[in-house]
Amino acid sequence: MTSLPTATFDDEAAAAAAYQASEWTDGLPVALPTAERVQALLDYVGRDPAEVLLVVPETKREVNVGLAAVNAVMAGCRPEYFPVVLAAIEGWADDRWGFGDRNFFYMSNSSTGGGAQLVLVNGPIRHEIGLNSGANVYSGASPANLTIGRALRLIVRNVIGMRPGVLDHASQGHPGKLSYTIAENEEESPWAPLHVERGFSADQSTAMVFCGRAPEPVENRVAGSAEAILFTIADTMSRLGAMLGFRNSTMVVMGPEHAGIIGGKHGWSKADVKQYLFENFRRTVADMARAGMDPATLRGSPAVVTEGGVEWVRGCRGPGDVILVVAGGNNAGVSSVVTNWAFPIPLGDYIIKPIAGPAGKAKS
Amino acid sequence: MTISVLIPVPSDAVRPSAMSPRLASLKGKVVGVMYNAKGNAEPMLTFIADNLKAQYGAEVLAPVRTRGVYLPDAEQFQAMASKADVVLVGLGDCGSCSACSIELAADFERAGVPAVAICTTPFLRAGQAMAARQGMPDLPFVTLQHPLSSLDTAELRQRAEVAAPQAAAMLLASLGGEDAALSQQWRQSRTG
Repeated sequence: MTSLPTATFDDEAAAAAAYQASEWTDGLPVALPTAERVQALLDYVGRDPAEVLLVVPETKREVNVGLAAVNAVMAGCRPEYFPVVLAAIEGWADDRWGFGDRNFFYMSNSSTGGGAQLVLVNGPIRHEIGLNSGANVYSGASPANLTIGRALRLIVRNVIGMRPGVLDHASQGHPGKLSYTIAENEEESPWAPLHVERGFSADQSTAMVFCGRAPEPVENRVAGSAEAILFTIADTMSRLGAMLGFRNSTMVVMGPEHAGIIGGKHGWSKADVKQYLFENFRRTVADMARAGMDPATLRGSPAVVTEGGVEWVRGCRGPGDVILVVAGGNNAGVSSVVTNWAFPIPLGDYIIKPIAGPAGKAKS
Repeated sequence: MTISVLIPVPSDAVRPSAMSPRLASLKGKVVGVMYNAKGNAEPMLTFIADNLKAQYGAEVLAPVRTRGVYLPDAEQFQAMASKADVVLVGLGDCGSCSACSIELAADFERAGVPAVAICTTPFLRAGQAMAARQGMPDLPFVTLQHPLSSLDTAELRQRAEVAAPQAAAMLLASLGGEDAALSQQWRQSRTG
């Protein structure tokens, strides 16, 4: 068993009160992490509780498998959810996240910008554990989505020490900071799912991590052409309030109805869609200047291009910065855009980690 | 019936780390400026250094921008630590840059160079929490009125006049003798 320290209380109510008083919860009640409950998660994955998954030099903290399991139990995770939690933490530790000085994971969690750690799951584990990829995909409509996201949030809070008001200073934050786990609706997509696009086999489950701002809705129920829908999506990507902050890698979470029109009816490939969105994810220098940016500084950036006498600031570096997935219900012309916060990664590199199966099995 | 539960936070006390000894006087001492990618970081820190020169007779090195967003690389850090007697770092006017500025100041302190991070008031708790995680819970830092990124040059110069005596007090063993006299003289010349 794990050598993690324990505390003994007179009864469950006293223990729950102590966890609240110690600020070890997000404010909601938690499942109390008894040794037996934590062991069930550790047995399921068959990993050493002392194994270190993530080192955060700024707070001099480490996330190991044991502490991850304790917080996952508190969040309400069942043992079969735990491999997703571990894969996401391995994604956080990926050193492609950053540019130069260090991994930006700490920065993304402490920032006033208020990004939240989004996880997108692909592959068969979605069905095995009941992850929702359809209607209400962001809404916490299934225990798996809700508790995996919550576990990750509790780990950021408790293990890394990013408590709101202490080291987490989001000006506004967003509701995804409670839980932000979604899955791709592979079955209703006209395209290869994200993990297959990135070279994984279809039967390998994966988790992609992304520090995202809140999902922004793109509603277009009237258009029948690919260009009209994509122009609407690009407009949401290009709004000033996001363009003035971090740009580059951006998630487009396309609803199945939009994807069906664009990729099914009109036959656009994923590459076509990414190319269109790259070209139209932009804002004029004049608009950026009107919002207070110094045009001279902008003009020194490779993101500025002149077309037909108009100067544009590109929102991303190339089609590879558009992370295109399909999720949501196949019931309306609704998609969404998730722009990144403190998530610089090399162009075309997405941070995707394989999700291990139960102990003794190669895949989930 | 009693219940035993696992603790969800690490039990990792950090090793206490000593601050560098404070200076007896700033007169003739070399002030380094290491500024990060935050808007107005360079003028804000430079104006404070200019004030340390004008008010306390310090010398000021050319400002250096961190190669990382908020942190220098090892080469920049070593170069600064070898040239400067004291260092100003910042800005810390956001959640991540405030804590990173405190972390950098603590690194300079460990390298034997007294350092002051320039932050803004909303990030007092972030700075204190980071100082504690660095094993230097008493590391002082300047907290200026927020915001700084939208100020013009004249407004930044006003903030610098407020910040300089605070920074001096944090760098000196005691703010007295020649430093106090020089500062007093400077203030009189301003009001006169």
